[in-house]
Amino acid sequence: MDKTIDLVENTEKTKTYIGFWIYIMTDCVLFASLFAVYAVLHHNTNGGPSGQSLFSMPYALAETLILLTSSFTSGLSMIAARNNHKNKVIFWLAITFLLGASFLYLELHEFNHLVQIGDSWRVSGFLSSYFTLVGTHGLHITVGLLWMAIISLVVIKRGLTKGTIKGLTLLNIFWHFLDVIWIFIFSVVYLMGHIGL
Amino acid sequence: MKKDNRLTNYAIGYATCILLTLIAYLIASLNYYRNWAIIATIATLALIQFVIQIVFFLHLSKEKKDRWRLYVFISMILVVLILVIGSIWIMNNLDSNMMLDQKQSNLYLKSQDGL
Repeated sequence: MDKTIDLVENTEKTKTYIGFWIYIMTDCVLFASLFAVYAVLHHNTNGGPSGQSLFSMPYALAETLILLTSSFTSGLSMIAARNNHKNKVIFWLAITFLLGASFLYLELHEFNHLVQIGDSWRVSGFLSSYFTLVGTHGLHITVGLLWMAIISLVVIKRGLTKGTIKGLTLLNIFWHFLDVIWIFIFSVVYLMGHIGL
Repeated sequence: MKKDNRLTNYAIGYATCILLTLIAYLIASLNYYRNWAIIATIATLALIQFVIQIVFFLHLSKEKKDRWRLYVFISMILVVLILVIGSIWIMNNLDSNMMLDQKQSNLYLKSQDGL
């Protein structure tokens, strides 16, 4: 019935979609190696602080819920695209962008706080691996936000065409993937760090 | 028909993930010491949430159109498991087979080249 629903379904059959999926899977391997580094180094505090004394649990929970919600609203924008509601797409993308930006703000705020109190990546192997792991995730979020801003402008200008639908579909799975990675950062770094693993 | 299905999927996925996150958070925040049962529980909750997000958000299924994505996904899981478990295993093994402890090895290094 709707044309855009076919565009979405067709995008999901293209080689671009499979290719982008393969890229995301290799990015998972990148994060896995950073997790492995963290797992190996997180006891090496070199006399500095451990995760247990450093991380604020409610803060990490807030970050998690914000990112989870942004993943959900990103999905809602995709559903709006399937139903050919251009304004709803823009609306949900804007909400996703705001949530993503507040997540990034919280993360940078935490980094800044850690550096200010003298616990930067130079202090210990634990903090180096922590900053690398969480920082790489933050870098992906930054790229995702830029991409989202650009694609919103293009959708406003050109509407829901074959090209913009393709971009939206890829951005959507990229954004979901970032939330998937965050589950493990939240569980391994913050929750298990709190217990003192 | 199809669009409603997706919306329901997203809502179910979102609600379940929030619930799992909160349960894991509560379990962790009520415990301050290292306890393997708690750690296993948190890991299990994370894995359940992982599967839920893959199925409900990334729409990975066993359907024919998703077959290739599934194969790539399974290969990724395999590589990730080898990488993470292998690293932890090897590094722990190296660590526990070091003949000198931290203090002794520092002394040794100092005697060798004035660390």
